[in-house]
This record gives sequence, C-alpha cells and structure tokens, in this order.
Amino acid sequence: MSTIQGNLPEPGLDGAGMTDADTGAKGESQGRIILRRFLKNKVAVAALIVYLLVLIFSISAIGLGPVHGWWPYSYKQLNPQVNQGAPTLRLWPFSFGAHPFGQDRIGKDYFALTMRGIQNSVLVMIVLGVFATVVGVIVGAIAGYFRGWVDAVLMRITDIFIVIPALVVGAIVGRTANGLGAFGLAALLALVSWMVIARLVRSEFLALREREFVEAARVAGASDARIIFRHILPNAVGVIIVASTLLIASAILLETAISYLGFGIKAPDSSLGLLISLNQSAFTTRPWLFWWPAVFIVLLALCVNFVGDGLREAFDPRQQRFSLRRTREPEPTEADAALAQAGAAGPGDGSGGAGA
Amino acid sequence: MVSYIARRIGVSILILIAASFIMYVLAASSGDPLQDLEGSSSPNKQALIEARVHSQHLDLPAPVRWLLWLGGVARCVVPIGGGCDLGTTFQNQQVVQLLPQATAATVQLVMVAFVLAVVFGIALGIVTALRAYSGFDYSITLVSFFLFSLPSFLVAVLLKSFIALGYNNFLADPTLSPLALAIWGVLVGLIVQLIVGGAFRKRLLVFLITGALTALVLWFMSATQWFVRPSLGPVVVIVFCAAIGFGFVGLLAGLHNRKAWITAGINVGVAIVCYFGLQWLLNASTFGTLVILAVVAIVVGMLVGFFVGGYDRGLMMRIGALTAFFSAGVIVLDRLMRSWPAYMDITNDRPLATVGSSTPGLEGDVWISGLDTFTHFLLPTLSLLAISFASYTRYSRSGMLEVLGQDYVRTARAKGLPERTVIVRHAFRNVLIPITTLVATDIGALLGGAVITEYVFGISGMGQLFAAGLFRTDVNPIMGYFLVVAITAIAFNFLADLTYSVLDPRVRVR
Repeated sequence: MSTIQGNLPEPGLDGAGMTDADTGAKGESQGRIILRRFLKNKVAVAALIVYLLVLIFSISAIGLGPVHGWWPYSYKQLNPQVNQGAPTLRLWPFSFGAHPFGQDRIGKDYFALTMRGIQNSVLVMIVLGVFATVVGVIVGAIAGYFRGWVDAVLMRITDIFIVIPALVVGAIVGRTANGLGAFGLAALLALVSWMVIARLVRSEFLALREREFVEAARVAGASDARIIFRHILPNAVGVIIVASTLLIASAILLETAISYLGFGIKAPDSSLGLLISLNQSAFTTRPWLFWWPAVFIVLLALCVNFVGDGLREAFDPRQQRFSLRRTREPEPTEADAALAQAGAAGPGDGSGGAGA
Repeated sequence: MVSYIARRIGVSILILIAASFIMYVLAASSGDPLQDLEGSSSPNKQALIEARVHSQHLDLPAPVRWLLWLGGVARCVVPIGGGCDLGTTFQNQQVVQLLPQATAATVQLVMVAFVLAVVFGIALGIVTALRAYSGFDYSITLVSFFLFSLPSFLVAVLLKSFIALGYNNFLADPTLSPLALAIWGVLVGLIVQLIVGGAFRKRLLVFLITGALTALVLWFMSATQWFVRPSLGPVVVIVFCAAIGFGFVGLLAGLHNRKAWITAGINVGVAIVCYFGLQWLLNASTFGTLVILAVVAIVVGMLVGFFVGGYDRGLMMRIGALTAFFSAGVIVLDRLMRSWPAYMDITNDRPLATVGSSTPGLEGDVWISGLDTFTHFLLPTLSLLAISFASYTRYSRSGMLEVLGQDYVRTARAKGLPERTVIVRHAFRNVLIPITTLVATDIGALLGGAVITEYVFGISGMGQLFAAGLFRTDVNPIMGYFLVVAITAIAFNFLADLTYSVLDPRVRVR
C-alpha cells in the first residue's frame, strides 16, 4: 500500500487518545499498522485461516479443471450405492470410508459434489467481489472526482440499478446466463452489485478531493488520472476493502439463493445452494444431503463476515478505541461534574449535536 | 423544500422508467416464453402458440413490447382511454387484478416480522452496547454474525423441519421430560445471567434462581396440560399487567416518579376490571371491534395520563397509553389462547402449518381465524425475523456506542442525571436518527426480499408472482412485481431522506 505518509485512512480522524502503535510513531507504513491491527483480532485471523483451509481442502480433494485431486470419485460419475447412501465418515477412529458425506439418490459421491459446490461458491464470491469492486470504484471515483454533470449522470445510473432488488436481477441474470457456468454467472451478477461500493467511493472522493495533498498534486502538474489513482484512491482503500468484503459475504448468499430457486448453476455442475434445493425433499429420509452443503454455506459466509468485521476494525479503529476508553475510564470525578454543570444549561435532549 | 420534492419526484419517475426498461428487456430475454407450449403434446399446440404470441405481442421485439407496457402503465396515472393496464399473464389474468391480492399477502407476511425485528433488534442492540465487551455482548455478536451468514432458504427449511414437525409431534404427547425441563432451565438461566452481568456470585445466584424458576413453571405447565389447553388465567393476567405498568414506569419515568406510578396503577386497575367485566364483549368480537377496543384503550390511557398530569403531562400520557394498550393486549392474548383447543380439533391436532397462508374452508369466529393466521405465519415470520433482526442489532449497537462517546452524553452524566435519563433521553433518541433512515430504506428492500420465504412456505404473495412469472418467462407479472417493489423502495428512500432532515436539524435538504 503506497499511501502518502501522514494521511490517515479516515478523513477528519483526530489523533487524540491514540496510542503510539496506532499512529505509527515508530515510523511504520500505514499498511503495516493496519495489518498488525488486523492480526491482533484473533477471531478474524482464525476465520481467514479456516476459509483458506476449506478452500485448499476442496481444491486438493477433487482437483481443479483437468488436474485430479486425491479423492478417487468425481462429482459427475455414478457409483453403486454403499450402505444406502449413508455417510461413511467416522471421527473416531478417523476414517473417510467409501463415501464420507454419503451419496445422493442416483449414487453420486456427495463429498465430491460438496467440494465442487464449495469451489463454485468461492469462485462466485471472488469473481463477483473483484468485478463489482472494480466497476464500483471506477464509477464512484469518476463521479466523486469530477462532480457536476458527470456525477449527476453516474449517480442516477447507480440509482437505476439500486431500484431493482438484487435477488430479482440475480434470478433474471442467472437464468439468462444459463450455461455460462459459475464464472459467467458471477461476472453478470457483479454488473448488478457494484452500487454500494460506487456510492461509498464517491462520498470518500468528495471529501478527499478537497484536501491539501490533492491541491499540491494538482499544482505540481499531475494529471486527473494520476491524482485519482495515485493520490486519492490509496486513501480510500480502507472503505473499499471493507465494503467489498461485506459484498463478498452477501455474494455467497445471493448465489446460493439463486441456485436454490433454480436460476443459477445447473446440474450436473454443483453448487451449495443447488444441492440443498435438489435434496430438501429428502430431509427426513436422508438428512445428510441437506446438512453438508448447509454447514459449508454457513461456514464460508461466517468466515467472510468475521474477516470483514476484523478489517473494518483495523481500518477504522474509532469505535474500538472509544469503547476501550469507556470501559477503562473511572467514573467522572466531582471536579468534572462541576465543570460540566457550569457549562450545561438545562436538561436538553442533546439532539443539537454539540460534537458536530 | 417544495422545489426539492418536485425535483426529486421527477427524477424518481425517470429512474423508474429507465429501470423498468432494463428489467423488461432482461426478463424478456431470460428464456423462451413458448417453451412450455412447444414441449406440449396437445393437438391444438399451434393454435395455442399463436394465441399466446398474439395476446403477448411476442412477434414484436422486447423494447417495443416495453413501450406498449409503458403505455398501459401511463394510463394508470393519466386517465386517457381505458383504465389501468399492466398486461395479462399467460393464463389471461389481468396483472392489475392479481397485484392487490399478492401485495396484501406479502405485506401481511412482512409487517409483523418487520416490526418485531425493529423493536427487538434495536432493544437488543442498545443492551449489548450498554454491556459492551461483556460475555453477553460477545454472545449476541456471535449469534448475529451467525444469523447474517444463514441463507433465508436454509432458515426456512430448518424451521419447517424442526419447529413445525417437532412441535406438532410434541403436542401428541404434551409432557416435558425431566431432562427437557433441566435443559430449558439451564438455557434460560445461562441467558439471563449473561444479560444481568456483574460479579460471579451475583451471576451464579441469578442463574440458579431463574433456572429453577423456569424449570418449575415449565413443569407446572406440563403437568396441567397447558400446552393443549393454554390460557393465562386471572392471576397471570394480573401479574402481566402489573409487570407492564412497572416496566414502562421504570423505563420512561424512573421508579421514584409517584405520578407515573399513579398513572400506570389506574390503567392496570382499569385493565383488570375490564378483564373480568368485558369477556362477553370479546366473545362476540369481530376484527373491527378489536381495533376499536385497542383505540379505546389507548385513548383511556392517554386520558388517565392527562388527568394525573403533573409537570410532565406528555410523559404521563405516553405511559398511560402504552400501559393500557399492552394490558389490553394481554387480555386479548388470554382470550385467543382459550380458543386453542377448538382450533386443535379443526386441524386434527397438528396446528402448525408449513405451507399456505390459511386453512382452506376454515369456518369460525375471529379467534379461530386469528389462530389460523398465527399458525400459518409463525414460521415465515420467524425466518424473516431471524435475518433482518441481526442487522438492526448490529446497527443500533454501533450507533449507541458512538453516541455514548459524544460530549453531550458525558455532560449529561457529569451533571448528575440518573443513568436511565442519560440513556433513554439523551443517548437513545440520537441513536434513533440514523436507524430511522435505515428502517425506512429497509421497508422497500423487505417487500422485494421475501421472495425466497414465500417460495418455501407456499404463500401466494408477490414473490410467488415473480418466481412463477420468471419460470415461464412471463414478463407481465414480473413487471407488476417490479413496479410495486420499485415504487415502494423509491418512496421510502425519499421518506428516509425527509425524516432525516426533520430529525436532525443539522441536515438540510437542498
């Protein structure tokens, strides 16, 4: 992160109450400070590790594309029913057995199907996240930087997309993308998910473009593109990363919902939402067909949510800092009370916002 | 202000038109509208295809059909030649006629879930903020993250499989085993001690008392066959009404406020007298008279507050109205419960429904049909609640934390105001400002977002209209759905901006 030194990620952030480590008094770069704050958040780091482990596990198990993994069955092949398709996974002593997650009604190995579903869901998350972020950043940056009629036009276009519920467009797009596979579906879904990021980036740019360092860059003769991408964008990166993480978390829910409705990824390919949709009628007879994909959807979404929350706290420590201060602060002393009483007039409800 | 509103409405209409174009073209090109007919083996297949092509103008390109559709919509607003026309479905039903029923079903589904999610979400968020970084806070944070990560169809399927089937099976033999009693006791005890917090000894005591109490009450309910013949009875009604009065006095006025005690006391007294005196009226009630009774309760409560008065008359009226309304609610609940055995008979002892929005051919008074609505909407409402509730908890928690750090809260504390006044009067009101905006924006989203819940629970609302239309590439119902959802979204966004400027004088609309 090549941030201009001395610019905090959050405009208007005053340094009061920050520890040395927070302000980077040791001369650390901003990226390092944020990384360290993130690493301090045990839950977020654990979530990130679990997410990566699940991903690596699923890729190594059934391979990627033409490469084969260590698991003998593919998610397409039909196998004879073992033990009426019940899961053979044993935790103690640990053994996979023939079909650890069981088999579906026509004998497909459910472990392979689930792993393929994880791969597709993660693919959708990443592709959607990256595409939507890129589109959102470009639209928001241009609108916020140039303002005027460019801003008006771009924001009205954004409004047009916001009016349509994501699930609805998702379902229609998913149906249109029939046969494009996970990648195509994700790319098309990204075209209708970038609006939140565009709005956030725009408001960041509106604030940042008035700052002195932008003025300085302009006086030094930097082009608009250079100012946007080299000077302003690095300062808005916190907001963008956090927003796109949360977008990714909602992406897996969107994809599974669309696949559940039958408009997303189609059999014989596999998706976690599709697996639940296909097998929910078997809930009472073969509950594992329902449970495995359900567990992995929740696990993946939970991990991304925790990582997003950790990033948010790392980039914007205001809330955290305040709370710690509050919990450690002694009760107001009498001197404080007297001082406040002198300045306070009446028990107004405080909506005037003295702190503004 | 007027020019702002006019400009805003003009822009909204343009946005709506442009979005409808995108929607129409996307929906029309998402599949083959003749697919079901081409695959059919009916002898008059060709005629059917021609009829559909003719009635839906399928021979024209999608943008032209959109223009035709837009013309029909325009006639809804401007009365030129014929009334409103949103086109027909493949079954030749007018979308204009389908929409009101569908919207009503969806609103019925969404309303309760929405109100409950807002009330409980905000309340829980405030409590977690006040207990920030405690065990309770972490547990709620964990739960809300978990709820965030649950896809709605998953919640719906789980509720159907566990709550509905489990509860119906439980009713066949409605006695709780000692193990179940112990589990419930421990669970409730754990939760309550988390909320109360404090030192270890206090928490242990709270845990033991609430746990034992819960187990005892459940055992009593189980032993008296309460689950089959539920009712509150006079004692519990009196206790509940008193608790409601106590709660509102404690929350809004503080327990030292004698006038507030008098207001609440009179209202609770009136409610208890009504409970014994007005049962005949409830037996003969319809939905309309219940609404009238609710209004009467509120008016009586406000009058009591007005006459008790004191230096804070408005506050007394609020306390009076709230106490009266909720006490009346307890009485109605009691009456509703006493219809349960009759309703069980009607549904063959399996009362919780998993599909549909009412039992077909149901006959009965307002209580029976009320129970019927309750059993049908309980699970869909729960599944909607579970998801939207989490986000309100998070928002109000972070909002409250931020407000509690403001200087005016510090000032209020410093000048010696009681903690209750600081939280309720100074902090809470300011937390509500951003949340109001969120709530208004969410209403639009919620109407459109119930698609999956409706689909799983078989409620023929707007989501059903949309999903069914999309399966057949039947564009007109999709567009009808879109119109309702988009107009609601735009209207409530607009409302959100306006309320924000009203609530927060620092914000001015231009």
